[in-house]
Amino acid sequence: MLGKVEVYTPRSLREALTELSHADEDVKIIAGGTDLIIQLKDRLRHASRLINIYGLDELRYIRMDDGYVKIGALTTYTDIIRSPITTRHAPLLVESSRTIGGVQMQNRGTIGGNFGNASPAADSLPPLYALDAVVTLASLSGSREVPVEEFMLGPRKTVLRADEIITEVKFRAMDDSQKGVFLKLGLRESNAISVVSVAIWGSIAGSTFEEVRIALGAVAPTVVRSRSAEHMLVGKPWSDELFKKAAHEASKSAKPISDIRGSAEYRLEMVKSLVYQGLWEIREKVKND
Amino acid sequence: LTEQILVQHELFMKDLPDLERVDSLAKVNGAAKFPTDMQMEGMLWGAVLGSKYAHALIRQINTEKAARLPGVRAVITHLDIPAEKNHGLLAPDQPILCWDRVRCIGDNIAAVAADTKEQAEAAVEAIEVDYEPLPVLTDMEEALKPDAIKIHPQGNICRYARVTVGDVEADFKRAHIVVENTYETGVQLQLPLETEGGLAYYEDGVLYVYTGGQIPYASQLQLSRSLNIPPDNIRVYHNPTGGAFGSKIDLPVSLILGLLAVKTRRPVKMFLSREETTRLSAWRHPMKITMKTAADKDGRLLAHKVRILANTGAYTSFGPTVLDVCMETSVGPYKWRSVDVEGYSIFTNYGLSGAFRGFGAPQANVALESQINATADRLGMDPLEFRKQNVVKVGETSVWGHREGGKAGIYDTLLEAEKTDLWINRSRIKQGSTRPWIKIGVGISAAMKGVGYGATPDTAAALISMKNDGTVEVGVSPVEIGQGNMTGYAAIASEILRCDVREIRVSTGNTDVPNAGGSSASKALYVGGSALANAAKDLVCRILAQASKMLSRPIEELDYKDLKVFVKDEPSTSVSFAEVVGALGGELRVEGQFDVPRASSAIPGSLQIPHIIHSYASTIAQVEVNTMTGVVKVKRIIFIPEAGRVINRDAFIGQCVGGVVQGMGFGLYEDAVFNKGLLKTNNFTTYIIPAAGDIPRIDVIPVDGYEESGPLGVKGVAELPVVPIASAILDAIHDAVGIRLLQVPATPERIYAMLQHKT
Repeated sequence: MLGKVEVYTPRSLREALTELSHADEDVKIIAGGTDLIIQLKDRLRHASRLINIYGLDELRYIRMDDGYVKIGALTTYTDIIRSPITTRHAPLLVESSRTIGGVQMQNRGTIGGNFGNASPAADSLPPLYALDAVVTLASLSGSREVPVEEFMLGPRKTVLRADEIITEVKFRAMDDSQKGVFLKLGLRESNAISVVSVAIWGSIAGSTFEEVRIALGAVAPTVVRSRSAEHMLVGKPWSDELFKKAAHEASKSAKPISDIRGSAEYRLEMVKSLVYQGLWEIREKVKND
Repeated sequence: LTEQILVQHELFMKDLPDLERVDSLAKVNGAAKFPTDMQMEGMLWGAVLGSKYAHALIRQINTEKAARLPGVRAVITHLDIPAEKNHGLLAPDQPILCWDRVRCIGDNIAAVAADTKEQAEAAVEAIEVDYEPLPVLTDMEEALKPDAIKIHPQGNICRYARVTVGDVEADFKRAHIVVENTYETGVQLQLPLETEGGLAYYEDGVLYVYTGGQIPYASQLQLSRSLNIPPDNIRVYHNPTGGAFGSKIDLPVSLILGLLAVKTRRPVKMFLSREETTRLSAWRHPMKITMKTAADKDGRLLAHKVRILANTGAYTSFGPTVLDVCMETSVGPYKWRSVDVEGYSIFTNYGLSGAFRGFGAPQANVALESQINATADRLGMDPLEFRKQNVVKVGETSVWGHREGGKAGIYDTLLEAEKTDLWINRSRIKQGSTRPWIKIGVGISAAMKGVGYGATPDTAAALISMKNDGTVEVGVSPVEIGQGNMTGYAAIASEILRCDVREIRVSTGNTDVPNAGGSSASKALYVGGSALANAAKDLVCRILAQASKMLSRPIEELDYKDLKVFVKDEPSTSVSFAEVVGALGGELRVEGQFDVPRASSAIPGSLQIPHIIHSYASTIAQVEVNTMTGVVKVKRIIFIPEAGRVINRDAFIGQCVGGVVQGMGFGLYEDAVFNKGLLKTNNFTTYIIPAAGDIPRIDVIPVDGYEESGPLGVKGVAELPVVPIASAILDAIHDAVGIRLLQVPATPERIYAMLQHKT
């Protein structure tokens, strides 16, 4: 039961930040509400007052700026799926957006909200880890930029201060020499929470990675990068052997738990399977170029 | 006279055109009022306190604090139940509100009526229950041990049964091959879209109950037993129920609403959450089935030995009859020289198992059809050919001694399956993978499902009435739970009356109409429709007889159409049905009866088998198996049912598609996770049912049949499609990757583990 909650709807980011500057712990920011409403009903979070920023169109955009793709925090997954900019310059983020919830949630849910909710199984995060994205956090006293990898501290724990709002996420636009892939293992095709997800970004020369980033979702308290697997891949000629070794190495970065969706043992195995399949798919994309 | 008119006028011999559902517009535009939509002036809200434990003694229940909370009008416990404190249609052993002990999470302890929903829920939380936890018994083998804690005074065996034909041991000795395996099937939740709830009020000594339900007169009976109100003073309205698959035959919520309404003398509404509904609704029996199957070297099935352990949970519900159907279905539509089938229905603290679409048949089918496929493998025979050689054809006699009647049966569905592109091209289709880790497979299974209550007596009555303004009303009690029986009844009446289907007003799902049973056992159309057809024919005969007097012509010279009787050679000489009814006193009410044909006696050792009417199906499934993750995607299902005559093709196919998807859930997705008898997967986020993205192309190819035992030629199709899907998918997985899973649901993790084990 949701009970009684007071909702304040600011007309601008500045109004929102002003309101937030003198708010206490019981005040929560709400955007699409696809996570928060359920958590309030189930009493997983508590709020006596909500600041509803969903109408702040100034935070809803996808644009190119000096080689960077910049995405406003209130941009929905549907916006990302439909945008020519993300389709061309961040295809793995588009792939992941398509797997989030169902169409209704893609229409309603926002990328900023996916950050704020801070679930290790959040599907937009592995691609943003792989893209080495940076998050902008704003408060009345100014704004700061935090690398995505440093933003989340654990399940539902982030570096976000009580007076701050997530306003933007940005990353370097992908070009034709770079490939990305997002693979998700869920228990059904749509409306499924990830058992394991993997995002891979690679900068490719011939049949090797010049640089590669591998991010794993739902297998640790936060999304994690597997730097040892990345290191193993850089500069080496592609082969099934190499992909298998790297996939095995990547599983060492995972510290999964057992829950109703899968056992820890299965998740570890699935990291290997998905990283291997992801590398295979990148090679396939290069072949088809 | 009636027979003569029927023959002359060839009543009900044509096929019906495609029909729009009579209830579709109201359901689309929101005008339809489901039980949980009901509201009344001065209404209170009800809430119920469920058990915290799967097994515990209750030391004390203290409601004082709750009763003092603002807005609270009543707090009830078992002390407020004036008569029978247990419910259950077969054996009342489930407390409506528990007093000394809870035996599963589905148990309820107290209920509240308050001014608002929030107040009612707050009051429920304020009720103090002092529990003494007991060991939680969930494993069936453990429950059978002599030293196991007894869940009921008589022990943990709800029912044991054994039926035998011939001498299986002798046949095993002469067999060429014997295949033996033990299969396990999981809990499947029902999850009708409308959660439990509704409204009740008590006025001038009459109790009115509007809740989701399936058998109105059974609901009335149980309410009467416990509330000490004569059945005639209880009016039950289940129509339209927002989906039901069996669990709404049990009625914990209706009983609690009734108690609260009588206690407060105010209308009381309840509308439970998905989690609460899941907690107190019956689910599909988890089973463990061992089968030993023998065939000779020519590929003839010989002997079949079956041992069924059915986990019926904490109370009887429909455990004994589910076991019966499981036993009947465990031998399938096959010819055996000998069978030996024994079954246990076992009490545990594993929630509440009960009636659920398929009623024991889906579990039996997983085991049986896997056995048949494994046997064909061992013989090196094509599984479809193997089935063709072994099924009971029309005119032949089943192992239970029943002669297959009708126009078509299981054999005809196999002939149809053989002609499908998927079956013909399966070798080529298997080569179509574009990823090294994806393997494609095609599998097959067959199914049967009894229609109705088997050897149990079942008599139905339906009403048709006509007023002198020409309006026609039919009343048939089976509830419209989404399956389309209202449209079926309108179609039957309109065809016999030869009028537009929109002329017929249909009343179903309540106790204001005669008792034609309920929406259960795939029989709403066959049983209710047959009673209605008999009523409608009788009505037409009476109208023709009266018109003959009014037009001064013999009946042979008359014909009728569009609610008018006219002279065949002189159509301008006519009289309307309305005028005829006027002459007969202003209203013509005719009741029709239908005695459901049944076996003369049940097989010794059984309660109600055999059924003498079965629907049949063959199924072909195509899957893709990801060998690196264990994920199975169903790419195609071809479902070929024979369920007698099809009177509304769209509705028939709709039922089949829904059942196929529910069968996919049972076979692949729906994995209920428990901890100490507490269900962890109790909503749509955690309990995975197939969603739109998972649903493949589904072809439904009905085989034209005709069931001669009733006036309509129909059988029933409601449960059939859920039966053979899991087994066809398991066979397709085997075709793809060479492993036969002995367990459903075949979750990715289970398949992955088995693939690892294999290599």
